[in-house]
Amino acid sequence: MWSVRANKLCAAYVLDIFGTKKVIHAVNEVSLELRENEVYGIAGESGCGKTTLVRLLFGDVQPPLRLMGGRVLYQVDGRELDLYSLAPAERRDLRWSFISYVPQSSMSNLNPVIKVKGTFGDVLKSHAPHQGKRELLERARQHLVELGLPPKVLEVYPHQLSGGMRQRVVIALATLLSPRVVIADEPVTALDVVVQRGVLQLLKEVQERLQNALVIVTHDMGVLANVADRIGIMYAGRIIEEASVWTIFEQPLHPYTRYLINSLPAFGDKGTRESAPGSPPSLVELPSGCAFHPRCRLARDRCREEVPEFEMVGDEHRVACWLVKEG
Amino acid sequence: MKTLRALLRDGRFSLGSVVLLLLVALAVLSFFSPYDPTEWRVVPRDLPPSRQYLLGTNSLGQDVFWLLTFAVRNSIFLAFLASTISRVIALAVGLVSGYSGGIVDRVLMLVNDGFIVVPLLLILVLLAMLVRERLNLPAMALLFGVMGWAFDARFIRSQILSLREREFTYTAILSGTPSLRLIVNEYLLFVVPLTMATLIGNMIWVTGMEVTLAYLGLTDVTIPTLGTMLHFALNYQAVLLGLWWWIFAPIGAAVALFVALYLLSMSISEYLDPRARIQRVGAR
Amino acid sequence: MRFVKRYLIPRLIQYVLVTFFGITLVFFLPRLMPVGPVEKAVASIQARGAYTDPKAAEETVRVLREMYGLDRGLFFQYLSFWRRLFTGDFGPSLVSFPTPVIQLIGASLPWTFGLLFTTTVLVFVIGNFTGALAGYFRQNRALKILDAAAMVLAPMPYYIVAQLLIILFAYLIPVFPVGGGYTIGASVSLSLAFIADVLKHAFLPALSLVLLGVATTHQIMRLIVQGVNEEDYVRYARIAAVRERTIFGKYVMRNAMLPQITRLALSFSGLFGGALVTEVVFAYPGVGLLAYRAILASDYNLIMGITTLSTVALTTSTLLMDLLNPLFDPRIRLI
Ligand SMILES: Nc1ncnc2c1ncn2[C@@H]1O[C@H](COP(=O)(O)OP(=O)(O)O)[C@@H](O)[C@H]1O
Ligand code: SF4
Ligand SMILES: [Mg+2]
Repeated sequence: MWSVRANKLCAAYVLDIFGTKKVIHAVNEVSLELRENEVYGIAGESGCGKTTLVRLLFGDVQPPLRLMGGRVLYQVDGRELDLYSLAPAERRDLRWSFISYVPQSSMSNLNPVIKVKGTFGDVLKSHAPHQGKRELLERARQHLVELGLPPKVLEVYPHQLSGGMRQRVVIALATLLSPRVVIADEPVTALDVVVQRGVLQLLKEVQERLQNALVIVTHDMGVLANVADRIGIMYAGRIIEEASVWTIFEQPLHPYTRYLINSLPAFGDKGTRESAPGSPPSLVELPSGCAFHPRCRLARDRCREEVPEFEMVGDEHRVACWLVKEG
Repeated sequence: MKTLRALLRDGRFSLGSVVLLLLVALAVLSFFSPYDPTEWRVVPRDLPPSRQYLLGTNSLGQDVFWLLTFAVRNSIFLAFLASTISRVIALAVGLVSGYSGGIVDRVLMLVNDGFIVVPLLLILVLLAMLVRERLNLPAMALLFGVMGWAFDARFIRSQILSLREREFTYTAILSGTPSLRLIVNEYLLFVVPLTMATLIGNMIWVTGMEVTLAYLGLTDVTIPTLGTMLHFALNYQAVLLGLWWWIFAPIGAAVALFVALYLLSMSISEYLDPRARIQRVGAR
Repeated sequence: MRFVKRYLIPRLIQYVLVTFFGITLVFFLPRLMPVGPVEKAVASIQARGAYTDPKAAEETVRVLREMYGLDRGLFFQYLSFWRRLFTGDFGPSLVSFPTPVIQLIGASLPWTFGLLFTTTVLVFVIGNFTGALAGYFRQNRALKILDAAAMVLAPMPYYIVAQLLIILFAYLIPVFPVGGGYTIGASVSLSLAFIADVLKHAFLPALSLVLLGVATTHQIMRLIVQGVNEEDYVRYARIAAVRERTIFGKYVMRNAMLPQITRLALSFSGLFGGALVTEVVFAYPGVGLLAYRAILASDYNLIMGITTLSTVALTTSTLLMDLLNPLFDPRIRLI
């Protein structure tokens, strides 16, 4: 059963730099579906629009970001809700109880001048205004214990926690109200490898307990290999391939996905790795046709002129590439 | 050129530039003045503004308009010279301190903080009093220049420190670029624009100090500046006597100069670094 | 104990060093001038004494020469300056010979203190309040007007604002006195009438300081609040649907006040240097006016006394601030 559906989402940052208008098309016609009890990975080079996409899914749209088209549907207790036609108060009510978010740069997501319990209390308080302070604190403590985190982290200030612990605390904060969807944006990027494993494990554990949808956004495909069920690959604001984790790693079809997979370091690997030449395109002036064509060795004339459709090519496998379509 | 065009789109920048250009034009007019600004009783006294005397005349028998052209010229010149001197010091101290770190940094910052904690106005007043008779424009510029660099040296140092954090320094050090070249190539090019922005901020400070000292009668009052003009107007009770043109001419020009420089510095530093705004406003 | 070792002790060392160096600057800077300050003082006393009381003048000059070891080297003078400093002895005033400098400063201090303490507190409260609102509610019309007013007022040179106030409220609409601390001839007492008189005299100087102070503080606070408002933890609290009132108070203000508290300490340090220009413009009998008179009369001892004290006041209030900061900022308290 699906929880969140995005339909042809388009969004751009509209900037006014000393009078010059600049439009960054960060998300272009993205359609995807998040389902109950699955881990969905979103991968792509930095700046391709991953964060923008998840902000759209979450409903965090404020200037300079602007929604240019498309819809986001939530399925809440069997009801279908159109996120962007809800009243602001209704949208607020869904946050944390239905969908929650672990933002990028989560090292600085906790208020430095109050204790961790203060932040937990404030979040709980806003969703349960009639509960007393002690009750709320008890709830927070219990939640931490369930996640296997030491409850005494509530009594300290954020700067006293290690990076890994801070990230765990933010994950605990995000799952406080047992949301049906959790979005984690680059949850392990700032951490070292050993800590990364622990944090990913925690995310996975919480997801298994809640049987909900977990989205993990990363620029590092390797992170997804052991946790994700399905993966969407993003390039220049579009999802260009989506399939099960096995298919993505073992039978990728899109040339860009192949580059990404091939550039992953592997054990016992001595040979030089193939990686996409050149750099990601400017989102202000996208290349015509397939946005990847300037970097694609297999590009043909059609690639330069027409945008390839994002089409089903197999069981749960969608790709946007002329090569695949035309053979 | 591109930078200039971008800046000109900012309303504050264009307004500031227009006002500043008008003031500079006024200053240039001084070269065509029919009167010597140090001479008294060259025109009838205490006349209100008229066709013949655009801004009236004062109790010393000077034409206020032509006097103002000299005052504006001298004040801008002084501010520019003094700020240039202090920029050179600030840049040197900030660069060396930020780049070398360690003991050199500590000693330099100690000197720097020493200059920050002394009551600048009192010291300046004291020094000005000691050399009042010899306080011509270059001497005054030197005085202000030597006293007014500490805040910005710290600012430049902090910029260097944050720059050092970035990777390219490490790569440059590892790949063996000699450090003088490194300073010039990677730091100087980066901090010079910032220094330019502080230049304007410092010019405001210098002009303010000059007017303050002149106002207190501690500069060489025979040199026409905005400060000494105000000094004479107040001393001769221009307010009480209702000679408003005499007092409003220097006040108006000073306010215009301040506002113009202020707008320019806000606009430029925001253009260079949106986060620097706080530091610029908070500097003094 | 890490706090003591990594925070407290370095601060104390810094305090001692900077104070030492600042005072050294105060001592040497005037001596780099072509005319030495003591020589200047001696000359001016001799000139004055020549047609008033030659004997007294001779006496003053003799005391001076001895005190400063004028006939000895600069280094000796420097050492004896420090020796006297530690006993709080700045010597006798040269103009009001032989009243000790410290006594003159002591008599002026309450005036300055009363004026500056009140205005500093007012500026802090008003400026931060309006600035915070303007930074938080950026689209509000009324606040934008306030911004514009602050924008014009803030860069104005102080004496111009002061002078305009005098022209306006003392000449054109004469509701306040032109200057002074109290009506000349009034008996100094704690009567209501006298207090009212003092307040009336202090009003314009206070207003001028508050106007400009609020304009600057408003601008700074507005920028700080705008900046904090964009911080990750504020955005996150907002995303998590934390109540707006809580966000403003606990997330934005608590953080935005930190740098402002530091600035407050720095402005209190002005209490000793006095507001030189304010006091001169309004003939207000505080330390600033005392300093100005001392300068006009080349009263070297008095000038050095005031300058040294205000240097110490500045470094000390910075230190106090550093010691108080941990109370507000856990990142410092719990290193
Ligand atoms: N607040 C913003 N203002 C303007 N441009 C932005 C902003 N955030 C992101 N962008 C731009 O949008 C594009 C996509 O950014 P983002 O979604 O953060 O990518 P990713 O998360 O994949 O690194 C980038 O080109 C980035 O420069
Ligand atoms: S559509 Fe063409 S350019 Fe784009 S990835 Fe496929 S082959 Fe390459
Ligand atoms: Mg991102």
